[in-house]
Order: sequence, then C-alpha cells, then structure tokens
Amino acid sequence: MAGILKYASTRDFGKLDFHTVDRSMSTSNVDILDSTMSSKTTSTTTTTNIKDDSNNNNNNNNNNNNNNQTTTTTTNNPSTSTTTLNEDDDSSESGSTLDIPKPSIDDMLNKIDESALAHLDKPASRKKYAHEDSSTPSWFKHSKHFLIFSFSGKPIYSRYGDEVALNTFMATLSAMSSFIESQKDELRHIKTGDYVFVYLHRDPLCLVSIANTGETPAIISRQLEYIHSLIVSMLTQSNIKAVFDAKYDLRDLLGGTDKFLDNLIKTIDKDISILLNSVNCLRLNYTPRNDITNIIQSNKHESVLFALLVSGNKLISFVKQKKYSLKPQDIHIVMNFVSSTSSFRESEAWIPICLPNFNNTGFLHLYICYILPDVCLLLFSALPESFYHLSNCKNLIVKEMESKGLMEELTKAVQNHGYTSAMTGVPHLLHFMYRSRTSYFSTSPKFTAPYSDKKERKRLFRLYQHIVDRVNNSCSKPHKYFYHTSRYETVIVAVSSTHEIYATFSPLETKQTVFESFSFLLQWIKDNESSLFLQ
Amino acid sequence: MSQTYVNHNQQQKKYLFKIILIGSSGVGKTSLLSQYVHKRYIQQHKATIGVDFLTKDLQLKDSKGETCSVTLQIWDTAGQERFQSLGSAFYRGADCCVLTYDVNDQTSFENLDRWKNDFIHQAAPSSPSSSPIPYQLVVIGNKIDMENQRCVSQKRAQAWCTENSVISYFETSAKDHQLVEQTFESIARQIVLAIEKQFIIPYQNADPNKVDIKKSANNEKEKK
Repeated sequence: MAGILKYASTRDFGKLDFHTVDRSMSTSNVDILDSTMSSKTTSTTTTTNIKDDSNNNNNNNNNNNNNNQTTTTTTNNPSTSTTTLNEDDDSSESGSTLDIPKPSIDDMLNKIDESALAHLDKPASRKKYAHEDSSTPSWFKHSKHFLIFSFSGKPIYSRYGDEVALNTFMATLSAMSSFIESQKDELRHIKTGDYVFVYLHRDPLCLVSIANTGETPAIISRQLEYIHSLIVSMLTQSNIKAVFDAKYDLRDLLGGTDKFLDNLIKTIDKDISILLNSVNCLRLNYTPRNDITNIIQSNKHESVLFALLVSGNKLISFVKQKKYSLKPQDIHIVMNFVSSTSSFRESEAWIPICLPNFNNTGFLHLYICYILPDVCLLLFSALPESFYHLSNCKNLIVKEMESKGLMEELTKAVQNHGYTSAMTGVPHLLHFMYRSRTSYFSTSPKFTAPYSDKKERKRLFRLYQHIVDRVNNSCSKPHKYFYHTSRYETVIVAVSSTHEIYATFSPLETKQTVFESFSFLLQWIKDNESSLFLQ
Repeated sequence: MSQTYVNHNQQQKKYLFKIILIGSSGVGKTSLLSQYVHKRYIQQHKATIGVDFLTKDLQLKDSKGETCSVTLQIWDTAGQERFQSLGSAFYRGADCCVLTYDVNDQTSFENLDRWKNDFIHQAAPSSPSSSPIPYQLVVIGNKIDMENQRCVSQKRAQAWCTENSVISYFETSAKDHQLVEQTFESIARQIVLAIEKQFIIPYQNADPNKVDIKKSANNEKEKK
C-alpha cells in the first residue's frame, strides 16, 4: 500500500472514503487500513462507508452479495466467462439463438489488421499530453482522467499521458482494488477531497476514472460502462478473455483505436441522449420517415439483422428483424465508431464489430455507406460474405429514395434538424430534455442563450447529470416530480411510466408560471411526437 | 500475429512485463530494486508496507537479433507476515515471480517453499486447460558480499531450484551492485523468449487455409 499512500500524501487528500459493496464487511478491513495509513500519513483519517446500491440500474450488480462469487467463477473458468459476464439477460438470450461465428485470436487479429485498421486515419501524433505521466505535475491538473488496465495491473489506455509511463500508477490503482478484493469485497469508488476515483471491474479489465468535475460516482460509472462496451465492440468479450489468458498484450490489439476512446470520452461528457440512456432522432415529418423506413424494409437483404439510417449521432430510421432488439448503448457505440472515422465518408466499408449488449461473444459484420454527405446507412449481418448483397441492397434503397424525392427531403431535414426552445412557443422556457420510457428515444433543443456560452452549457449539463442521478438512483420510492431551484435556474422534472421530462426556466419565475409553462411544453411534445421520434 | 503488426507500425516490438519480488522480510528485495532502478544502496532497513512499484525500461535483442524495448513493472512486495493478507490478487497475471532469499540466512531459504506455493496457489489459473506455464519462477540469492557468513551453499540452492522447476538461479549483492543489472536483464530476456515461443504455438496449429489467407493479407508485414 505504500505506493498508494505516497500518492495520497503528495496530493494531500484530506479524507479517504472507501465505498464498497459488501454490507457485511469485516472490521479487519478498516483495521489494516488504519495501521498502514498511520504509519505513513498521520493526518489521514479513514472512514468506511457501506454504500446502498439497491437502486443501482446496473443489472449484474443487483445481487451485491453474489457479485464476488461471480467474479471468482469467471476468473477461474474462462470457458464460462461469457455467460456469467453477460450484462443483460434478454439480450444474451436473443443473441444465443443466433449462430455468430466465434473467431480465434488469429482470426480476429487478421480482421482487425485487414479491415478495421485499413480504415483508420493515419496514427499521427494523436495525443496532446503524451509527454505527461504521474511524475509531471501538469498530469494531475486534468479534471477528468480515464485509465484502463488489466487485472494484473498492466496499462492499456490513459486519456492523458503515456500509458506505459503511467504503469506504476495503474499498478497502484489495481493494488488498491485488489486489496479490497482480498477482503471478499469490491471497490466501487474512493472520495478524496475534491476528487473521486470510480472503479469499474469487468474481468479481465479494470476501468478507473479520477475526476474533480463534481459528477456523481453513479454517473461516472455509467460512462465507464460505455467505454468498456466500446472495447468489447472492437474485440468481443471472449477475445479479451482469451488475449488476457494467453498473455498477449491487449494494447497491441487496440493499437490505433485510441481515438475512438478519446472521441467517446469527449462525447459522453456532453451528450444528452447518452445521459438519458436513449437515442436522439433526426427531426423529420412522419410521411417521409415512414416512406424511408418502408423502402429499407422492403429492400433489405434477408441476412440483415439491423438496418440503421443515421446522421451524426441522430437516428433517422431503424429496421430490425422481429426477434432481435438493439440497446441505446450499442447504437451509440456504433455511431461513435462511424463518426470517428472520416474515411468511411469516401467509400463503402465492411467491418467486423461486436455489439456488446446484443452478443458480446462474436462479431457481426457491419456495412457502412454514406448515401448523402451527412447521412449514413448501416447494415448489420451475421454473414461475413454478404458484402455484395448488402452493397446491392444499398443501391436499391438509394435508387428508390431518389425516385420518390426523399433525398432532397432528407438533405433539408439534416440542415434544419436542430430547433430552439423558443421555437416551442413555451413561455420562459430556457431548455429541456425529454425521454420516452416506452421507446428509449429522447429529444432536446439546441443550447441557446444563456447556454450558448460553453461554460454555462457545461454547468447546465453537470446540473442535469445530478438531477438524472437523483431521479433514477434515489434510494427511496421513485420521484414523480422534482423541483430544483438554484441561483442560475429552476429545473422541474416530471417522471411518469411513459416519459421523463426535464425543463429549465429562469430562477426568477414563480412556481405557478413554471407549472403552467411546463404543461404547455408537454402539449408541444405531444403535438410534435411524430416528427421528433421514430414511431 | 500481434507482434508482426506492432513491428510494422512502430518498427520495434514493445513489451511490458509484470515482475513480482517475494521473499522473507529483510532479504533485501527493496535494496535490490533500489540498486537496479535508482543505482542507490540503502543502508538502513525500512520495511515495505504492502507493495511498492518501480519501473525500468530496457532494450533487448530477441531471438532473431532484433531490438525490442521492454518495460518492467516491478512489484516490490512486503515480506512481513502482517502484510501477507494483501498479497492475494497482487500475484495475478505476473510474467515472472522472483523468489528472493538471503544467502546468510537459513530461514529465509527454507521459506522459499512457502513463498513458491503461495505464489503458485494464487497466481496460477485454476483450469489446467489454459496455457501450461504462463509465468516464470526465478530465484535470487542476495547479500553475497558477506561471504564469510554464508550458510546456504550455491549447490544447495541450485538443487532446490532444479527440484522446483525454477528456470534460473542468480546470486547478487545489492550492496556492492554485483550482478544486479545482469540478473534483471536476463530475466527480461527469458520472458521475451518464452513469449515468442508462445506466439508460435497458435500459429502452427492454425488451419492451413487460414494461414494462407493470413499470409496473403499480411505478406508485407510478414518477416518470415
């Protein structure tokens, strides 16, 4: 523990709170810690908080006491890992009915070599802060770190700085979690002064974020899950396990993919649809959208599992085979992947990709083609040799859309997809976000004054994060209404079985006007439902 | 395969190895590392608390004579009994375990059995199907500068090593800086060789068709 304490003392962290899972944690845990602490830093006091996670939206953590057991079984027996590690019961069922080929490591390396890497932009000097590591003071100044390492403590990725130079720092982080683990427990987060260390254990990987942004551990933990999904989407969970067991260095396989991680980290820190665990739709009238969906539906090749038409991170149309479904997280992972790679814009592409919430053991094959400068068609197939079928099916779709004049309609829609809170005609409304609970679609207007300023925008986003966390993860009964007033704004939240709505007003408005405007807004959303969301 | 890919992009293979040092308290694990990494000898004995981490970069030649860069992530663990409860997960995924004893201390040598069992018990994958020996065992006898006080002979130590399938045996002196650097360099080289060997196995077992495809896809990068 000396390394940890050295770090703790140099950073002058006043207080260390160990938040762990097991409720029946033995007191010896605290004793050992105390003795180690006191021998190094006398001013450090240790408190052990046992966190109540009964409302954690994370499925596989629901059973707190069994959690440790699951981890052990997965470490001991790699062959069962994929089933025990599946995050979502229904998705794993749907995935298992489908015969997805499970490639060997060599296969995977080939695939990554051949296709994915072929599309990567040149691995130029990508990192702004590559020269930094835990010995440079500037490294500690970043407000939000993301670090990924294996359970053995070997570095895989760091948002800032060179991960190899940071290897002792990551080893320290892994030692901290394995210390807790040796108490038959799991380290969730540590609070020290303004900083929070959030851990996510996904055997054989460990993801850590160190942040002083004021975000809650639950929110950061969700972000770490997104990042983990991204890694799984590139390698599959089975391959990550295999790579780890065979002692290949995971960094070799993830070579050149850092920019996807960098990009996703940036996106999750400002994307409202990800915050709401939902997908944003491109605003488009019902008739053209319906026409497009019908065209895709009627022309898609039989091997297509999912067909998505997207513009940036907005969904235009979504067609799927009846028995399968796609989670918002997977859609975001794919959209992030597509938008991070500019060379996809130039030609058709065919890449293996894993959808972690659909089936984390195998690759699907994704056909990517931009049919308009900002509109991209994505077709998923389980057959590696169906590229020409899908390319042909894209031609048919484009042809039919052109003949019906839908291309012009789409171009127009892409140009004016954004709307402002003023356009809703709701008095005093500054901003809002809406999420349907039945369909996982969300909508929100562009940030306009006073949130046109980047700093203000960030502040509102952080406020939303807190409120979303409060609304979704509160320990007591779920809230129906939530009213928050601060110096800068008033946010009112209403949650029903069908939707969540968060509306922001000036703090000077009275409660009455806020409530009146709020019902106006609800009506506006209802009236515009057909253009705001996919039906 | 991953190696050829790295080769192609970065001209040089890069490895990172986790090495853990275990052994009884006071045998000189921390001194050894301090001498190796900082080229400093610490006169005073100060017990390590839990674990400390050191890192060292090396340039090595692999079996084909190509230079590769190796980063050693060294886990300097506490030898004291009361910190042993921290040990369990520390051993996981180690590429090499260095068992250390003091050649002038009979007990520290006898304790090697316990340390070795401890390590194997906690680090080894429990399913026998996975890779045969994914880690390496090495023994270091330290403090050879005090030759007149020696109580464990080289012969006896080597016999123990053969018995326990230890790959190499080294003798060092952290105080006099005797053979410290050579020891760690040769440990690193052994891991590189072992890993290279491991890479060949899946390649040979692969389906001949697949190998053909691979070759045609990567013939630029293929060195062989």
